[in-house]
Amino acid sequence: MGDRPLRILAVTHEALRNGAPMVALRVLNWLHEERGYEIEILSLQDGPLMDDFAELGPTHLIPLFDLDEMNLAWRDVAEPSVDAIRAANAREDERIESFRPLAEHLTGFDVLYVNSANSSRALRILPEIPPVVIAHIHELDGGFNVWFDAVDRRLLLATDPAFIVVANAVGENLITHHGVDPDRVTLCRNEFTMPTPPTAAQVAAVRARLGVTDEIVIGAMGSAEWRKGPDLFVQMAAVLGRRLPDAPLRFVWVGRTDDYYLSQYQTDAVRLGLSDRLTFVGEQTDPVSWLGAFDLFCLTSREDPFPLVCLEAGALGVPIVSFDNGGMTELAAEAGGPEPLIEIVDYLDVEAMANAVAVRVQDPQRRASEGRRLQAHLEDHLFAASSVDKIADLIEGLVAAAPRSPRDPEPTR
Amino acid sequence: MNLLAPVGTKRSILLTAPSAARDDSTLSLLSFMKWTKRSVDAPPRVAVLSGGVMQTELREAGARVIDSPTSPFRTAEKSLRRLGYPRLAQVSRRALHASIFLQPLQPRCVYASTVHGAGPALRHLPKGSRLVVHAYETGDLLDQFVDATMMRRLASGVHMWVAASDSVAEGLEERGVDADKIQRCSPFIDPPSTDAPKIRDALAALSSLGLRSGEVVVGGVGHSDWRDAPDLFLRVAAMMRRRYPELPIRFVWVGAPDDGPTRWILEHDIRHAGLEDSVTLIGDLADTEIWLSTFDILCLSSRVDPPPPTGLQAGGLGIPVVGFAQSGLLELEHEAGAHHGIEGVPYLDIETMSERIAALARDAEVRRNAGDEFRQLVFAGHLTQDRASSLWELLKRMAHETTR
Repeated sequence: MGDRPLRILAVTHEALRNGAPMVALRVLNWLHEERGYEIEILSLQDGPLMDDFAELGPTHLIPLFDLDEMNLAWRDVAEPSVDAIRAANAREDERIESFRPLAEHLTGFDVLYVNSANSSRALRILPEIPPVVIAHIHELDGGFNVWFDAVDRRLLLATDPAFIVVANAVGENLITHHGVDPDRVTLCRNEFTMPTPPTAAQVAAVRARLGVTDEIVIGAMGSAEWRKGPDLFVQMAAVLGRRLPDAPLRFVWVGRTDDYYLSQYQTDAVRLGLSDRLTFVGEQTDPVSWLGAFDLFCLTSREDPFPLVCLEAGALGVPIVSFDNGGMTELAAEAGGPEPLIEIVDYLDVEAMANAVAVRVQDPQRRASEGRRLQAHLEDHLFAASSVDKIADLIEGLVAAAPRSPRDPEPTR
Repeated sequence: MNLLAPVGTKRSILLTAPSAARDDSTLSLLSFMKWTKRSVDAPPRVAVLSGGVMQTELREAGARVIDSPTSPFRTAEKSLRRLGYPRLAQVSRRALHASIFLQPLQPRCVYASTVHGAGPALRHLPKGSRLVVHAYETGDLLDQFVDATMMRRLASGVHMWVAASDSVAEGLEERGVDADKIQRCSPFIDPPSTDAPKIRDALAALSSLGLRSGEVVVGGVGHSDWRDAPDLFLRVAAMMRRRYPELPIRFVWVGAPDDGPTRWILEHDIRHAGLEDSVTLIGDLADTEIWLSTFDILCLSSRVDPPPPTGLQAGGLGIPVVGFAQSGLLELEHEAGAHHGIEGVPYLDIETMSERIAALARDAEVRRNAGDEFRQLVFAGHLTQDRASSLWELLKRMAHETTR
């Protein structure tokens, strides 16, 4: 290796403006700019971030992780059975195998950086495994133990990666349920850079697009799927509407939607009389402007290890109400003292979430002070700590100690 | 050239269903089949296009389940898909469906038990035959599950519609169906049979799964999907645990898959809402009536339902029902008038639903009286014997109207 820069192959399972790919983009950008690493990127699904990745280095798309195809497969079976899943998996294996020739040139790297559990699907087709494997894991119980394909999980664990986890609960899951050595687990929360606050004009443009003037905007952001709880967001909006029938409220969900599930959320919204107050606006190119237009952020996720979007909302001074669902509970308790940084309500307690939101809707000063408190804490304690430095040091230490030659990949089956 | 079967013979009317899955339409079809065997000289042929948990019952009642998961047809279709010939597999499936109609004597009237399963009947309808479709789907379900093009074709091609409720009829009209072609026919059930040993077994099974003596059983029944909404059932359970911790209640959901991601989703909610000691998931949807018999209260969490047969079955057993006041339940509630036993609460209003269930759970006598009144309502007009004859008359009339 000598004086040449480290060569990293970074794999992302998608290129959507979602938490994990956004984190990857920031980490890789910093490693490239500050440490001079040579970055090559493999994305397993197309998306709007492909151009951003391409600015860092050669970027390849090999669509191993085809969410649309998987969703379609699920919809075909009203009650997914073990047999149905096996059959779907067999078809998927064949499809993945057909992409192997496209990955033949991906050799000679010092480090493989796998940016999510699902990104390890690349291990099925890579011709060799670099000496060092870093697995940046954002997934908790469901994401790692259930939805994560068992073959991909086995292949990942077989590489004996160094794990970077975004919350303590993520690390505990790896250690408790998958026998990972605690010494191989490093906590690096998604605290990389403060987002650039949107301008007043950008915020005004978002509010104009929503058609709001004085209304209070209650927002949520993320792919509109079960894990993120868009169904619970709709229900919360309905309860809040009953609590404060005269309050000028707008509810906005920003993030990728799927027509099939969207029709279900919209059916609920229509039946609950919310169709003129609740909007799913889809994925947006400038999510920070949307966050800036929110007066309050609701994290309705059923499971969310340490969502980047909450850090960004908090960094902009937007107060947050969340279910007890993972990393936000850890963050809420960090300030110490009687007042948590984030209002946490019991899991599935939609009514309590609506009550917490109602209190803040009626009290703009409280919203402002909570937002400022969260913002200050993030600036002082999270964004100040350089997670990327920690990641770079980890990588360089591992590379120094690792053998020089790559390894053969494990057989898929 | 094939001929239409003579009027009044067994082959002149064909009943079809898309699958033997347990749902409103299959339950009503089974009751109807049993009634025709008892009550008419020439009971119709019945073809069920794919298997499901009710296939044994349907076969015993005389149906031909042509495409169960283990049938040679299904095996061939799977092989074609595995070999990379999805279109050929589709052609094979269509040929299988067509085989129902390619008989020496073709039906004069074809009845499809649901809108979303009526495509094959429309596609293969013998020339001159009449098609009757029984609609259980409300408008938003039609939009979700029936392709718009197919809906247009059905609206113009179906000769007569049977709507399971007023709201279903409205949905059909909004999607281009002529109001004159719609006849109302609420779901109906057979009088419940009280199989004491089976009920004892079910109670013993619940006890082994955590049911304690003296606990009130609040049950829910259905598929683990958006429509039947076990997610909302669990929200009710979570709220009742928080607000009424003093009430000894066991929540039982019948219809959860035994394994797989859907099971995990339900268990995730149960675990994280701290409901492990309060909720029991039962996988068995085949013996629903037995499980219903163990309930003290039915929590009907469905987002969409015409007058639901499960609700009627509960009523037949004297079990009060609390559900969301939409579509069919609201119609039943209006029908109940001064009666009790059916309570509709605003859509997705978990707080009010919990309050109503708590009121029933607190007082056994209130529960018993409500259940008795509901039973009277069901027995007064929702039994197969009261409703099936009008459906049969319609099918006979349509068979007479054939053009060839």
